[in-house]
Amino acid sequence: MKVHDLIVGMVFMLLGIFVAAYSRTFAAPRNLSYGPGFFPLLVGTGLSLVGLAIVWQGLRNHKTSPIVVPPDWTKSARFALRFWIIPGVIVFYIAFVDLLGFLITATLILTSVIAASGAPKTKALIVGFLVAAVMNIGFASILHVPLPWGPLTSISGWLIW
Amino acid sequence: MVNPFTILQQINDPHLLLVIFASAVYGLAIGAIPGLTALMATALLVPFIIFMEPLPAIASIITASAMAIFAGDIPGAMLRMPGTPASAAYTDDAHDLTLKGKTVMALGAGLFASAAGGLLSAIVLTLAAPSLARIALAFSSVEYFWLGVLGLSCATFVAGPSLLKGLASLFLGLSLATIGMDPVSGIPRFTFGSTNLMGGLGLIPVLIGLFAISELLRNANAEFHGRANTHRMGPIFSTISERLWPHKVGVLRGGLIGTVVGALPGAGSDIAAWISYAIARRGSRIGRNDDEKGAVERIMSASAANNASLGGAYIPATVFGIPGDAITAIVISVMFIKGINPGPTLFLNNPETIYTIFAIFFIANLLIVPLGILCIRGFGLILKLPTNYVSPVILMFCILGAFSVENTLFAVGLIALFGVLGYLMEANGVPLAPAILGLILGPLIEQTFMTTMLKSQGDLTIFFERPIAAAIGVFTIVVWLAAIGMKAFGGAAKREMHSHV
Repeated sequence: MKVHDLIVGMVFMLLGIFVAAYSRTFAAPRNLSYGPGFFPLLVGTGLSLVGLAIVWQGLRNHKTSPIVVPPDWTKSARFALRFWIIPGVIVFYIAFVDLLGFLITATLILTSVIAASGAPKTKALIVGFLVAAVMNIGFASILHVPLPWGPLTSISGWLIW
Repeated sequence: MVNPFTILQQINDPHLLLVIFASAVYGLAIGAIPGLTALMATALLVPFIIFMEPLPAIASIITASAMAIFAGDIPGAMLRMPGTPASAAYTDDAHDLTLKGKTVMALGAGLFASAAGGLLSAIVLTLAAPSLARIALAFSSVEYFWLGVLGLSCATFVAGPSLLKGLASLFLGLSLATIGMDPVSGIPRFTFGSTNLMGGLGLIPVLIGLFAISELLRNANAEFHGRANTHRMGPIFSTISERLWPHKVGVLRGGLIGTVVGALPGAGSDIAAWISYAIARRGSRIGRNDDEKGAVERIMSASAANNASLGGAYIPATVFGIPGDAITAIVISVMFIKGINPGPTLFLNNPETIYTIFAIFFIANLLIVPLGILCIRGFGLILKLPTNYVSPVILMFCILGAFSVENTLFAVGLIALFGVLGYLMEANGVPLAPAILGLILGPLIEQTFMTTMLKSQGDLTIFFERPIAAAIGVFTIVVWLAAIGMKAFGGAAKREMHSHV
């Protein structure tokens, strides 16, 4: 999603002002002349000045480029789904992995992303389950990553060795 | 003095050799798939190598990244679609040769130049690093401060067409680096009460987000149909060996440019390839021609440079502990996790390890030739991998990778956040490299800056008192003035041109 430099600059400027202002709240220990807020203050000031310069540059050519260029995923619902499903499934993973366990969550995620890209649903489910199972066994048994099992905890012993 | 037998002994370990071989195959596959970069290959390796011994872990990164950079040439030549950005400079030249039925020539040239460039940088690394390390032993916080600033400056100036956006990206990275406990007083900053933020943002999740997830978002709707034109290939080795000798100077020049550019923090393999390509195009007698020989010269110079830059980046990484690019940033964090602390003392306390790491460079670059030939032959098979199955699996590996490195779901959230941020930044012409370098070098710069300021009670002349510090400092300031001057001069020239038109 491309926006006009005015907006890009504005975002950086506001962020810089926030960093600089917030850094004023860090109290320096009494024996130090430069406290924990000193470096963020410099960086925040720099960011806001650069943001201001980008705004200034944007003002000079504000008529030549549009304010917002819509990205390709606004063209159709299918495109939007293919794009948003990526952050969507990551949020889904965070929300449900402890409840459902890794195997079920990963199967659901892989199946839905594969199906969203246009593959047949049954094939997506089979591939999704197989890949999730291989990942689960590999990461839990070989790399010893503590993946949650959810409702499958009682049979987790079958897949860990 | 290091005993060469110890190094041979360390290398002659079946487990290490198996890891090198597996990483080579993995790196070739990732590099050959368009859209998947050498950096992504490295970031996705971390969850696996974090469970290995230190040497195989680093060997795995070295091999996979070298292979991925070479393999990026293959889809570039065959489909006009560079597999990694490092191959973009000479994609058109290589593809033109393919259209003339000379795929073997294009890819063979890239293959041998890659191996030669990589070996050259490994030689420079082995010879230069120990003496630099001896000098670096005398460095104080001021020298490290200037080295960090110089690195950030280079990263910003080479990042893209807009200096301002490069600077914005840099300051954004530096701001993100201040999240967590202050390095001097230990006071938490920008944590907003979250314990997850106390230790700062994890490097690996941020990298996976900025580079891998944003790439997946960008390619979410890209239709990718390729058919490799592989049936007309003759024998690679015999066709190439005698016809490449005239290009030895180009390869040597490319290798040296690559090593130097790679050693500059922030400038990675793609920039090395572009610079070497431009010099071959304008400055060399053979490379200036538009015929086949000229194309081969340009391909070889640039290809040698992008592989040489990988070795070059290990010079600041091992000598100063300052990463030359995002790949070595990952290497440095893996080294710290594994108890090998990069920096000049590594050469004193643990010379066997560091020389074994250098030796692995030689092995990896020698392996490029046989495995590269196999990969060129098998490229049709890689293309048959359906992308609508590969991308979801990569996404799942990103999630799992972030989780296994940090063991928190918070890290998984970071990849989504930074994925969207990386996508938005790229779409708006804000380069990612300065932000990453800012995030990586931020703590070092802050710590050395604060230490120096506290030492001198705010007297800024301390930054120029020691000779080496003064030299690096003056050089950094000259780089700044030159960059700003070039932008101002370039802008004025452009306006003048417009007014004439």
